[in-house]
Amino acid sequence: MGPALEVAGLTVRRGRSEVVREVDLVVGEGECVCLVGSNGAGKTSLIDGLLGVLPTRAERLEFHGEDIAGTPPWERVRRGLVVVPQERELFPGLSVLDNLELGGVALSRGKARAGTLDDVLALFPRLAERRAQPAGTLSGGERSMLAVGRGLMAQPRMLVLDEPSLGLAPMVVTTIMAAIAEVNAAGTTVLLVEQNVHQAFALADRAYVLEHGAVVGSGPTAELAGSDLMQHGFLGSAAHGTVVDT
Amino acid sequence: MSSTLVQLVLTGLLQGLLYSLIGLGLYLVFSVMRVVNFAHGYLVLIGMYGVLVLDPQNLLDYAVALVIVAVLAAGVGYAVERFLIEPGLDKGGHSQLVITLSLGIVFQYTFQVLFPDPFQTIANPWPWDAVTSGGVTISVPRIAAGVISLVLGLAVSWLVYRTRAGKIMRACSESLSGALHVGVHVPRTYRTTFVLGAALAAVAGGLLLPIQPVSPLLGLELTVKAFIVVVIGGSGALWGTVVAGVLLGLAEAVGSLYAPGSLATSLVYALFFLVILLRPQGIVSSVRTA
Repeated sequence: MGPALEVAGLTVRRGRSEVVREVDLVVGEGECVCLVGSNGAGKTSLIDGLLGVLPTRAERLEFHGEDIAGTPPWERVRRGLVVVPQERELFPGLSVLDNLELGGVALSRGKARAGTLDDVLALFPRLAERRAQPAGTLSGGERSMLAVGRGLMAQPRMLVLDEPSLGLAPMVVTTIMAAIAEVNAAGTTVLLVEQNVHQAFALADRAYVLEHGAVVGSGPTAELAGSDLMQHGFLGSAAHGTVVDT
Repeated sequence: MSSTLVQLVLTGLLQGLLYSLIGLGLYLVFSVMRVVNFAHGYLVLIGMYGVLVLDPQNLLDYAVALVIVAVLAAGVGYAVERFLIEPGLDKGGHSQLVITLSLGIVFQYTFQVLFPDPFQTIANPWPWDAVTSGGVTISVPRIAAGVISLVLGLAVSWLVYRTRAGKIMRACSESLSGALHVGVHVPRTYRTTFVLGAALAAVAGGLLLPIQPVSPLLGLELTVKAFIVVVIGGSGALWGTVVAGVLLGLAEAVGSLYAPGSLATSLVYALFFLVILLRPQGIVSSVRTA
């Protein structure tokens, strides 16, 4: 069986500028891969390109061996490529439960499983407590949980999370990361975009480093963690442009 | 209250329910698609002229005519959405403003060519003419139009708040990006919404025809009234639109008591100026937290 996601030469445009250029990325089935990079490195644009909400050009864009280039976002979600966006993008006036139910909207009626909702509520008991509340009234941590939970409702084959811990208290970050680990352990492929390198590296098997819209390094997290790139590359600016050979 | 005032209030209330129904279509399209449809009043005219042409002689014919104009307007709505509005939606800019405005003008001249005689109407399709009680007389077509509008309004509200399709429509309205992330087939939802809005407008037109004669210029007036209803109602909930429609009907009716003819109409619009200045967000504003 091939990889879950195979991307070669992916270029993503935002307006007139190419914000991601010639990116190669492979995520194996069941793997947890993280994508790190400083603010403005193009991480979110890359994700938007994967979902198909930004225009892309690619030599290869395959999901579980099928070409998904040019397909609309709803088609990709239906195939199991689900993105939990950085801005959460919840439905603020709708209840927590409605938000979760809408998460499964792309599934055909036959595929929708009643148990999925129970699984998500078991993963985030806080959401069960808040089920009738409008999503707009939730705290930052609860919103992040709801965004992840809503993503899981689509029964993803691969879950892409764009900075799920952004702006959250350390306790909540731990909860979210534990949930992601649990989802990954249950067999779902995970692509985790993070600025919080320590948390992300603890979870992921491999990592890609993105800088100025291009991949400047990649490899097993254990090796990358000690490298010059991680020490100076995007955390500081001393070794700008350094490419580690991995 | 004098019987004249009671009569005016009842008339205004019933007329207002019809305005609510016209406003609902515009509200749905605006809140789900963020498209301001300047041609909305002309979709009402499709219903009016459609029923005029079918010229029903009895209640059954009239009911069938209403269904036919609803289907006709739904078809027109589909074509307009699919081929005129949808291509410009993700381009940014304000193409849909120009498109719907131009479309309204196209409709107006088409109706002028097809139906050169102004102020045409049909015979009362209902078996009764009017209900009279204690000096108050209300025509049956007016009562029927108000009641049917209310029933349809409740049906739409059930659709929007109680069904899966409605939940998807509200999702698009709340966050387009969120809808894309959960995998909503957005263009399909837009088409459904626009088709629904067009069908409601046409049925409202069919209900209006026995009360008010149709002429091509009425389209613009109805578009403006629908706008007033939607803006006064606010973007927060559907019932705001219904309440605003009733308010417009009442204001028109009661206004006619204190000012003659067209002056009453301008007074009504002046009044809504005031409402908008005092409460620009409308009756029901959206609940949003930062």
